[in-house]
Amino acid sequence: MRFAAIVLTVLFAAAGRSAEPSPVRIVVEPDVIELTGARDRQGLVVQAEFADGSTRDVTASAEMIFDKPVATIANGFVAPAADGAATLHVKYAGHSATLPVTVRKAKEVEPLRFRNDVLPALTRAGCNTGKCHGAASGKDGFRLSLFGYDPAGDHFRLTRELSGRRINLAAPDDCLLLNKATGKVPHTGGRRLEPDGEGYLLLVRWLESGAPKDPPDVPRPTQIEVFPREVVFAAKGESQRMVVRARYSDGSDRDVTRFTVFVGNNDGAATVAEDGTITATGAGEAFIMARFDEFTAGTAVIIRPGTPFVASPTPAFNYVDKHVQAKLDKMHLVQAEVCTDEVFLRRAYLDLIGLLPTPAEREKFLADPDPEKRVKLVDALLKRDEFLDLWVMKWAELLQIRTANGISPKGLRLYDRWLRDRVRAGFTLDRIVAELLPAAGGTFENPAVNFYQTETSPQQLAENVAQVFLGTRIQCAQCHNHPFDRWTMDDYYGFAAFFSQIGYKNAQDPRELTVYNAASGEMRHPLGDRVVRPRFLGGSAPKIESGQDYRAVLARWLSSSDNSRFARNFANIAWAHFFGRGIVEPVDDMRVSNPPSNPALLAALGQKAVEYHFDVAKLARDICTSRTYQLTTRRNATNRWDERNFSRQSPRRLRAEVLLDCITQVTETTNEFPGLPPGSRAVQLRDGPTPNYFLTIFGRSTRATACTCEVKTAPTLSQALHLINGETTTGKIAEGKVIERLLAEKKDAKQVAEELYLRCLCRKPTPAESARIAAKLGREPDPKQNLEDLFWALLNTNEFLFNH
Amino acid sequence: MTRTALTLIALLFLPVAARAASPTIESVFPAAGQRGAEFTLILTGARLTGPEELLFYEPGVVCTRLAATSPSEAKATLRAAPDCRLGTYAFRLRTRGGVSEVRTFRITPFPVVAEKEPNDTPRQAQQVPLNVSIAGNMESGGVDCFAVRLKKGQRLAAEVEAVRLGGELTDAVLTVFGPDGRELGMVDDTPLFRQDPLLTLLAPTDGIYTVQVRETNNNGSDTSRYLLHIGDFVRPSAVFPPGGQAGAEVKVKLLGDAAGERTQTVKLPESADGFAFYATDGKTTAPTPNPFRVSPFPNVIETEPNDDPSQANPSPHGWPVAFNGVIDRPGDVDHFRFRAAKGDVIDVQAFAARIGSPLDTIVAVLDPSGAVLAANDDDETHDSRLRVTIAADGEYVVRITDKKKGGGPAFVYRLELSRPISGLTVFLAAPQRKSQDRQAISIPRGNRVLAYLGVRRDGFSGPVKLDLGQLPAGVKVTFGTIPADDYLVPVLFEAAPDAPLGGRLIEVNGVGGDAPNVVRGGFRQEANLTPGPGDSSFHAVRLSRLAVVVAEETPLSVAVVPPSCPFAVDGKLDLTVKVMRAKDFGASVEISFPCLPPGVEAPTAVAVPPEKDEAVVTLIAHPSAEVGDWRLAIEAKPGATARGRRDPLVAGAGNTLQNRRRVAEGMLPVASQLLDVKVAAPPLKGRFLPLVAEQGKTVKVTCQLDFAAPLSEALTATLDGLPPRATAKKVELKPGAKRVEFTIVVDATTPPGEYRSLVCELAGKVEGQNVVYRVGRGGVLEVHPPGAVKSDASGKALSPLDALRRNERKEGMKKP
Repeated sequence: MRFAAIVLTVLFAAAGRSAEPSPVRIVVEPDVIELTGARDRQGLVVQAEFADGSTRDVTASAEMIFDKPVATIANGFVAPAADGAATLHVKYAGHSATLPVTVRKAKEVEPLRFRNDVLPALTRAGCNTGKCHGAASGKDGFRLSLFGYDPAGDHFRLTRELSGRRINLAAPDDCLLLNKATGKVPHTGGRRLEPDGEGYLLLVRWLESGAPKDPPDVPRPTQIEVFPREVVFAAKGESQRMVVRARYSDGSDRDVTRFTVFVGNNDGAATVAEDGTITATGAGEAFIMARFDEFTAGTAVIIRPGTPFVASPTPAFNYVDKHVQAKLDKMHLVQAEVCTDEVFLRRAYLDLIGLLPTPAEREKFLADPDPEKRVKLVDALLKRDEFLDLWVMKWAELLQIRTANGISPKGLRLYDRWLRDRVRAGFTLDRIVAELLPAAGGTFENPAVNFYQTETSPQQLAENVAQVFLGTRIQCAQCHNHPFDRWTMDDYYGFAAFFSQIGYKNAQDPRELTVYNAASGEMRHPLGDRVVRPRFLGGSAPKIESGQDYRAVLARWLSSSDNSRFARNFANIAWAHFFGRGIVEPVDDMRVSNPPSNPALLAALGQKAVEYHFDVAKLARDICTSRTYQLTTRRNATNRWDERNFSRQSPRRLRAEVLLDCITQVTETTNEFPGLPPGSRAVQLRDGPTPNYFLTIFGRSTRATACTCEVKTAPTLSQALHLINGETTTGKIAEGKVIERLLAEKKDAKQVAEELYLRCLCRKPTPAESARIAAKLGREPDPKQNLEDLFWALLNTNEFLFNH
Repeated sequence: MTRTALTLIALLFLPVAARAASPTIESVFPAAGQRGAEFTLILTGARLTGPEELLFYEPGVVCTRLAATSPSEAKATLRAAPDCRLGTYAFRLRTRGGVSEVRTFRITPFPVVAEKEPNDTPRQAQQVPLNVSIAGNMESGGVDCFAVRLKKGQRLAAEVEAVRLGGELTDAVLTVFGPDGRELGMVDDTPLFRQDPLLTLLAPTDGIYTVQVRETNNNGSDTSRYLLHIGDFVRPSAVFPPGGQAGAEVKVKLLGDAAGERTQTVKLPESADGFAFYATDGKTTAPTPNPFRVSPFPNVIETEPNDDPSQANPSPHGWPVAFNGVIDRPGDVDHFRFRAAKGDVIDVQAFAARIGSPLDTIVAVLDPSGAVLAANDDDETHDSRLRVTIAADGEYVVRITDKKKGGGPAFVYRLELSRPISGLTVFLAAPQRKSQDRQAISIPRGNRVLAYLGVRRDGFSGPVKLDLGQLPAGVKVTFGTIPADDYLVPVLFEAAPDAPLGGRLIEVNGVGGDAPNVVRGGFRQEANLTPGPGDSSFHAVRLSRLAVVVAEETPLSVAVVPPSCPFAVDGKLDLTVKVMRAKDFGASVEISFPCLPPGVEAPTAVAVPPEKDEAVVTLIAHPSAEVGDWRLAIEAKPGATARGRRDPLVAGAGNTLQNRRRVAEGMLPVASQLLDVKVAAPPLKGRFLPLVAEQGKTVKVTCQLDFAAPLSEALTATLDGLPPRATAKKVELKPGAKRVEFTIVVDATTPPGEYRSLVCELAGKVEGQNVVYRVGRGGVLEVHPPGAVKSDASGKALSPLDALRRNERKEGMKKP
């Protein structure tokens, strides 16, 4: 019966394929096979690529033949048979590929190692996950390091911590470790290992060999590779196997697929089974992450909707559009239409200067016949001071400029002024970083050092710098290797070491603090308390002269034009400002398991950022003059489901400060903020937690952390209630007396209503709206009350609250 | 409020303020006058009625008229002598009720002009002539602008004194705008005067220039006062060298003035006292001085290069010497060389931050081999100070650099190498650091007040004898020598009932050390004029005399009934305190114990309710109390609880709560007599016999008593220090008893264990005085589970070995 089922499946599969075009090529991965030892074997993936760019896993149906009998192949796995070298020929649908196979020590069985054999088995069984024994305090009295970051400690805890309890060398298969794991005795975690499964057998053999400690020269994994690197499913329902190969410090490699933990990030598009088989479940994108030892790598998976797709090329305004279009074609998405001038005008004003265009500015723009007028507008807005104010606010949020940790109002004012002066003077982010990070002196005499008063611990500083300037969150690695990224504790403490020599002392003024390079003190690793030398995050360990300021070395590396991560992060921040989401989203969470939605676009923008010396205005110009930025927010049939490929613009609620400034602008009122001159705008606030009810409920950043998530634009009930009942709308309408003034200018009620539309929404009322307004106004002799109601209603519309 | 009500309140105040209640001055405005001119100060504060005089700490200014316009305001007319010293003058206000804290005003060389509002914008700028001192006030968020006319190339100098005026912190920012409205310069803080800005510039064109003063955070208030000197005077931001040898002529470079660097030759006085360096360019003089050291030893001026020890500038004078230099560029390191002999002890002291330099020094002394002998970053200030003892004759090097690796032409410093000097300073102990609270002696007539005088010894040890200068008439003072192992002594000031109201700033001197190394020193007081956050201070003045005044009577006095027997170590003693209230004073009184023998403890405060005039307070002498002769005094003041209900000074008053508080706060605490008391060993000793008990059983314990003298009174014995849930009844002890026996009831749940805490407390009246002796401390009680204790016929517990032996014997007896 089973045989029959297989035959049927094969028949169906064959039938399905016959109707389809044949592949344009096949790819076999890995492209070299080296087997060492009798236990070694290596999985293969054969991927067929079709003319439309889609791929298919054809491993099972490809024909594989060795020219010499050094190895055997079964189920896509190559196993050693005899020492020697041979060539493997792979054939499928008329295409063929060859790959060299080398076999060494085919008859030799190498001893099992704790780090490379036992620990991966435990990790794969889930023993050392955070909710099990990998928790900081362990589970049910037994603790393992999370995902095995501390092999020596784990070995100790298994074999020595409770002598004679966890393992039993006299009867290896009857010990607590195995009895618990197989569920023979009650185990909170249930049955984790199958008796006679590979993991079980591995453990038993290792125990039989005396549960030895690893020799000091035991090879360590140095990297992992995941095959295939990219998958494009033509439709849901298709599947693809994955193979993971680890490379070791002794130059050997191993197939570790069966010890790898696979996690997908979008089950709605693709799921991954424990053995690494990806199955497409719906249109979209997914990233399948593979974790082995301290390494994380993954495969990007695209699942096309499966509907007929005809590429409809749109004109590219600049390089941005080319990269976006390429991705959309791959996804079988059609880009939206370009928005109207009216929409563009409002969008560009709000994004570039955080204010609404006045009716006069609108008039002028619409009347301009120049086909390049959008570019002209962008250029004009980029020159305005308000553009810089907006970016001062954004950098201030990332630097967490706020009164905290004893920073005095004066220190804060000077810090804010320092940043503002630099941005106004044309300092770009790299120059700000170059001045900020090595800053020394008093918080009044050199306000940049306030950065080191806001946070004082080297670890926190390192985390903030990584998050703000590299878009990387390394927090996890403080206590254990990062489970979803490449960062290890060594990386973490190596990076934190740059901040280990900061000295603090009181200044003459009791409100001031002096920060200096103490030129002594080292970072220590919590495992073993060894000194950790400064090491760039994901880079090398620099040579630092004695007495040289570690921070200056870091600043040079960080903001160097060679540091593509700094550039990409900068580009991503800039991009996110104009689209409401980054190419990597969240913006400050670039990690292996959260790849960019369009790597080519991000790379291109990063390169431009370097070319522009990190001038945000120039990058903003490229973005705002691209077709992609100018798309409408309306969805079409193909991009209905797309949220991350910029196939259309997305409506974005105005951030709290901009919203308050816009309400203030259209009502012609002012705001009083403590410590700021009267008439200042909310985007100019110095202090994160400046008390203001409106800003608080609309989710402004209090700058309490370096996270971009501090700014919240999600709706809440209190926002709605405040707009409807609160002081800000009604109070400002009454305070500004705009309607009285317009009526006094001898405008009739209809004109005033139109003016209100232009002010708030940057458009005239539609005929339907006009009719209803006229009907309402016609009923009462004094239009003022009705117009105020209309004004209030406009301020309450989503059209006002959103940039679209 | 009606006028009648106001009058009523005013009437209620008058008798109140006449009582002993010290005045307080919150602000002085304008806090400045011109040299040689008459000027008026408006003092605002509380309890200012009945002003008698201003007590000045130095001559040069006299008060010609003083009157209170209300309890919260007084006006003083002052006249400054034509030759008086420029700068800060400290004073206190004495009223009939007492004396205020220290406040200051400044004497300036320029006419003082009042600021006139509105002057918030350059257009509204107040026109002023050059070389004036403007007394202004930055109102809430306010900005003050002043306009001066300048010719092209003329120097404009502006200097703000705000923090230097004292009062609430006013952190000013100075900005100058040109005739075209462009900003020509802005200064917030300066190394020279910290928060007080100064700037100079040369006018680029003829025209009207605007000088703007504002608060750094735009947070000005009614108390944000400042003095702005505007003129065409020379105003260097640094001088070099910043010091010289007494009696010598020194060429001083004036740095940082817009008109360029110039040299001024100054002949230094023989003594540093009262010397101030006023920069001058021949025509004009700066309104405030630059800090300048006058030392008894010669100068050595730095010559670059001296970045390496091998290039160290030598001292031709050996040491003591003063090296003067500039850390003239970031990362600069300066070295000086001097010869020293084995056994030399050298004080190396840097002057930089203290003399207005931006330099934060790090100083090291290197031995002839180049090894660091000693290094220092900061001492009490941000300047380095260290002491080295020279081990061998040779050439030594002193190295100086900036902590923050900065440098520049203004980074001047002076390194003085001198012999350690022994010194002595007398001070008045302050209940709160950096506060002027109780920093003057104000004695109500016919009453007493207590203060502690302290001494700081530098380079010597041993007792210090104090000598108080001439006191106001009718004032008597009682105090002793400060013992070698202490630094404080209680001092009781007493004013006779008929002592005239009056006050003096008196000298207080101390003498210590042994001949021939007798060390003398005077009084020093730091009066904090602008408190900073926490325990810090933005501005303070240093005073050398103690204010002692006689004030109006206070309706409260206090006395202690001398105890008839000494404090027994590890015992208690009841002290009777008598409170005497005036007829119209019916409030609760709070008594406290500021002066007690060491190891004797009293409650923090005891309230004596209005209906009582006596309190019996139990004082505990701890086992650590020191046997000897000591002094005891107590203080009394209106009770805290009295304030809310009824004013202590006004019988049946109907005034507001706020006013009541103020009066009570101003009322001075009065002291009892300074009583000589003894701390002695108790007249008897006790010893517990070891005791073993079982849970749930009753045992007897004996404490053997050993009298030093026969006991004639009956005492009540209490057993203390029992384990949980074990109890013992009190036992009456007859005179002559040699032992006391307690019956301990051990509860079934008393935890087994060894308790080394038994103590026998004997209470009773000895010579009419309630006393408690605690004897036999450390008696041992063992508690065992039931059945675990073997005892002999008498109930005495047996050791395990004895128990075993006895058991064997019994069994042996049973054998046939």
